[in-house]
Amino acid sequence: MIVRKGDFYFSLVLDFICVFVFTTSFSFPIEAAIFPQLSSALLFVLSSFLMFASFKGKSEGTNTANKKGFKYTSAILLIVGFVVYTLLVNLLGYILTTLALVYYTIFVIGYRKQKWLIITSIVSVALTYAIFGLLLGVPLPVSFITRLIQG
Amino acid sequence: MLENIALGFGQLLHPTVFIALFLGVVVGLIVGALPGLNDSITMAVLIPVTFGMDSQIAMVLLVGIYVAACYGGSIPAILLNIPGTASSVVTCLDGYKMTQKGQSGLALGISTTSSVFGGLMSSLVLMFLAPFLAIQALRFGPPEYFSLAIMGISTVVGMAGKDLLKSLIISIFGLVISTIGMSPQVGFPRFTFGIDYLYDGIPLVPMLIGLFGVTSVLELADTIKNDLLSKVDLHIKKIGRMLPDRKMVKRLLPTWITSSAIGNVIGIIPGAGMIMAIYMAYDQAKRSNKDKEFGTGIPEGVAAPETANNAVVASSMVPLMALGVPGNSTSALFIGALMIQGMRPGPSLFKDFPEVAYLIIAAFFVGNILMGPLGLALSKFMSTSILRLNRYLLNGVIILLCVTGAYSVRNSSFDIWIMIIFGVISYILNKIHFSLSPIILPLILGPMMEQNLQQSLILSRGSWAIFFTSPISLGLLIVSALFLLAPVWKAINERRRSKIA
Amino acid sequence: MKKRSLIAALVVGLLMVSLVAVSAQSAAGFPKKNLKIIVPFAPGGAVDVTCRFFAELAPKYFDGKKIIIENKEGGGGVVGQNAGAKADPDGYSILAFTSSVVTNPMTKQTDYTHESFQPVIMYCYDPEVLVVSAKSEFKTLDDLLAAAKKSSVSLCTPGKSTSHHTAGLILEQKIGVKFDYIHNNGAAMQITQLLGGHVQAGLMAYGEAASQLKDGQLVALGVMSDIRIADLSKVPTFQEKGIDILYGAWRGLAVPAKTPKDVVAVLEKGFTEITKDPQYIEKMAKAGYPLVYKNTADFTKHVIQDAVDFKNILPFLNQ
Repeated sequence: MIVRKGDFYFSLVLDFICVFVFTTSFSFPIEAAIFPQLSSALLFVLSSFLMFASFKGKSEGTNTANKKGFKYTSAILLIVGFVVYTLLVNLLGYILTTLALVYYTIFVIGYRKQKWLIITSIVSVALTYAIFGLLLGVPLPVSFITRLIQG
Repeated sequence: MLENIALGFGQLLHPTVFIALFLGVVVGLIVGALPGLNDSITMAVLIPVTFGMDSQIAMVLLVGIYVAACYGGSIPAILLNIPGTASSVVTCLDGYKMTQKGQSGLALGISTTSSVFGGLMSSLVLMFLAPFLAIQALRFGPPEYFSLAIMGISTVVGMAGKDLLKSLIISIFGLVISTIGMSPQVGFPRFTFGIDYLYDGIPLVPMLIGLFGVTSVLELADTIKNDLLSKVDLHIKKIGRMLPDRKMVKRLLPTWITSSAIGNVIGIIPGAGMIMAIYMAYDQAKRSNKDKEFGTGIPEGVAAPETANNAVVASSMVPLMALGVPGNSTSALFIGALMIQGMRPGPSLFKDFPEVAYLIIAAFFVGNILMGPLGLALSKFMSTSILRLNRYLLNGVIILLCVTGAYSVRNSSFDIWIMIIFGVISYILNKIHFSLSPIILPLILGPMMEQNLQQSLILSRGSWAIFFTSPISLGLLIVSALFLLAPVWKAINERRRSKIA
Repeated sequence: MKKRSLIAALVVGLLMVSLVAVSAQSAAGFPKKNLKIIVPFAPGGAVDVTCRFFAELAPKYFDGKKIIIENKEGGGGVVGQNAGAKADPDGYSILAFTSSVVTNPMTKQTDYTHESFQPVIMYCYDPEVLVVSAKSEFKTLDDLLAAAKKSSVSLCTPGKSTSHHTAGLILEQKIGVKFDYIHNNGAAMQITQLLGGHVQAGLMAYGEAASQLKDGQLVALGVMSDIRIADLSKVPTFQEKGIDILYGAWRGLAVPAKTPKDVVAVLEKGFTEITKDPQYIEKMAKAGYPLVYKNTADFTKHVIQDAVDFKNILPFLNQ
């Protein structure tokens, strides 16, 4: 019986990574293979310890996060939002996409007062753009339309 | 000697030079406080601008930035649990806990006084001991660097809380993923999956932003969604007293002294780096304060890393000024800055341009003094405005800073992916009671370990004895073994005792 | 339905406009907008600083247009060089072109080779020097080479398969010496290793060690150029010692290979004029970068010759 499921699955994942690293390293020149093989072998041993330990001993207790009915929806929505943002930022440009991201994040976390939502998004993005883009000269992504206009 | 130092300080009396230093400190504080931006990025941007400047003004401006940036990084670390620069990752541990306890003012005050203390100590070292110490640092060759990296990693054990095995696993995992990228010595790309952005390994700053910033936003979302947010968390408005009182100063003094010693030693060794210094200092503070539970908002936990990182600043200039060899990547930028002024660092700088050489040294000293009041003012401003901000809106702004910061490091959206991936992994691991933060130091030290391991073996023609025949290397290895075995020994003893009982 | 076809029409229209915009680009009126130099290394280094010298003077020679420097570091130059190769061949994206463009594709997996680029001009040539610590047992080039013939000598380089490593390999091939290579990431660690006496000798570009050579902490034993370096007038060239080897790190500018010839000509003219600007000459001299100019034709030849040399040495790289 697995008492600590988190430990068990994590050590399983680590063991897989170790096996992958260890075996892939055989295709490297010998000098480049020593270190990954040594460290992955060591990690394999340690994480196997953890795996065995996960069968016995005490459970981690009833942490709030392990309770049944814990809602992960907003965290998942946020992660999806970050991914979509990164996919779009080079296409639609920094200002537009980031504006949407800030609005979306605050909204998903649970804030609903439209006025402050909009003000915060616009002001913070404008400020960041001014500092990073204009003052420090970071070439922040521009939208494909701007790129077309500029040739 | 003394007249030369007077020559250095004398120039700072000139109003334009002084204003340049002042501006440098202000800029350093601000870029340090912005996640994703740091001293080296800012200095690199500014160096070309210094072309047209008078050499004295250019140098003090850069010194100001370098002095203040790593301290500026502690402000968001304390207030938001997001390190503004990589050198303040350890400050998060106790600093943010202090904020949650309503002691953000004290935490910021301790960070300020500690930084000034560490900075002044290293300025003195730079001023009086540079040539002597730089020669000592040259004793470090490949085997010594390897053993130093081992010692750095062994501090992870000391950092670990109750669960030693988990911390060890995460740190060895850090070593495994540090092999991503071009292998040292032979330059073979490993585990890059054809992505050339990975050739230099996992980029540190985007990873840190993900680990701290993204994770914290995701966790706040969970807390709110499940109605777990207490009134206290939602409104940490209390700032409290800022400057530590005499009793606190007395209490922190031993930590300041040991941490600045650690910072100075690590700073002088070229290439050892600030991150190693902050971990060693924290570890040492923890060892010598066994009665206090670190990680719960202990003042020493803020004082140690903040003293150490500022102690690295001026001391990393020691090898540069004395030998012309940069102590780290930031001090390396001074070479470029000096070169475009037609000067080169090293002993000849003191001979040919003593006014510039001693001005740089004096500017480190004065810059650190300026940093105190300026830093307190900025801390006060940021703490009142950040803590007053609505937590919902604040987290939107945090995400904004995260994505912009991650992008700005290399001007690429690939680094935003790194940020998201590490943010999500760390979020998931937190759920199963793992902390991903022990990964940071091994990730940095892995390549150093590997490179010096291979260089040592080439020099020794394959004999591992090289690590034990060098006295420095042997000493470092013995210390690391003690660090590693101490908790194991303790655990065995405790088990035996409980069995008897 | 109507809406969808409207969007489709819009997209097609936009594409047409962009196509026309691309095809209409020729040398007439070039440059119409700001130029960009992609620097595949970190800001503050030699390549970055020398490119920023160009940027500063550009408006004077490019019709008031500016040059923007974009640092894309990583993988020993691969990230930025890849970006340079993939850029639109319209002359607006220029790559800071260094020896590593030749060596990287042959030693790493890259999507480009040196042939993906059209060199524009070379502006800097930093000759290779063989250096030792002032405390070294080797006082002359002959001492060192004699020792390296008997048993191998440890030699540090700023990185594997860099031009500096190659210089060492060529030396091994030509005169039968033997080196144990200690590869680093850049010259700073090399200098530390030499000063600390951990490594016996080092190969690097003269500029990297200039200050230690001047201070006398390091001593140059030989220079791989055809004439002696002015500041090192006592140091013999390898050719003087009867070893025919000319080597060094070059820095130049290049555009994607498909860039129209007339656009390249405009760039060549503009940058050539900058290299003749007294302000530029003074800055290069002050910073200690040897200004050596080659025009498009000569630079192209130089790059091709370098590639041939490197290809010859390639089989020995991983021994």
